[in-house]
Amino acid sequence: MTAMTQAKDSELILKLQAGNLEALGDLYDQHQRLVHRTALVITGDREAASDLLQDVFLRLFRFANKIDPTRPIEPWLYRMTTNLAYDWVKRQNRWPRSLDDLIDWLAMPGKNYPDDAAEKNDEWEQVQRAVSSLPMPQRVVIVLYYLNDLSLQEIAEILDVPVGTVKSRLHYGRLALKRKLGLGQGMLPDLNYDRP
Amino acid sequence: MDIYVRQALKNWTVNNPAPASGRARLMLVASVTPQESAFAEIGEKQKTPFSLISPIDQAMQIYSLPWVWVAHVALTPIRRVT
Repeated sequence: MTAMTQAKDSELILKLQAGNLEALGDLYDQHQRLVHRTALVITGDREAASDLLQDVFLRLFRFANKIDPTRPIEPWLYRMTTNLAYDWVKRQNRWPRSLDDLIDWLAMPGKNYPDDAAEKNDEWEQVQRAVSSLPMPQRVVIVLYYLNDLSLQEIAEILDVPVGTVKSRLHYGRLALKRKLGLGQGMLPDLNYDRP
Repeated sequence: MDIYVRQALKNWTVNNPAPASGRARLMLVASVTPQESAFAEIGEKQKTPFSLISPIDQAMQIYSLPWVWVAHVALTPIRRVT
């Protein structure tokens, strides 16, 4: 995040604290992609991601007075998104999986395919499905690390856990992903934890 | 594998963008949603009867602690029942 973006966000948060709705709209335009894509991969459900996107920004509006305008807004958005996505997944898991699948199938078969099933998109979808099937703690770390390019330190601060815990979740998440994607041993070199 | 997973996730999310009506929907809902600071003001103005229950609840919670029971039994003078 550049200093200019940070200054703009601070200004918008101050306006938001004064109840300015336009400032909320501007913050939405600025950060909606970050929130939506994070929610989308964690939940694996487009409708849920859209609802979570709304929920995160509504909470930003409601609790604006608790946000420190001198600090970057992104960690707050990540934390809120992952917490709400976590709750959503927990609620979903209460339903028997087979019943859930049946409802999906009855409602709209293949609803997660936005375009005609292009081969490449299928491949990406397969990776997304593999990530969405990981246990939540690993899934959240994988999403923040791979999708949002955050460092281990940043992830640790967002999730409020030690860096060692993040490293361990990332390690086991990668192993599980490799197994689910059917990748060979040669495709899983030791991870270089520095950002690309 | 890292590059493959990173690229696949990013491409998949790019192909599944947020609905274009998202901003309008947000503004509509936010316009009828009070901010938390407004709740605090409302709370100050209206003291509900539930605020009376709280001290009773607290007293019951303290009395249910085991060490309070031990102290109660230990300090109660033993008297003849008959």
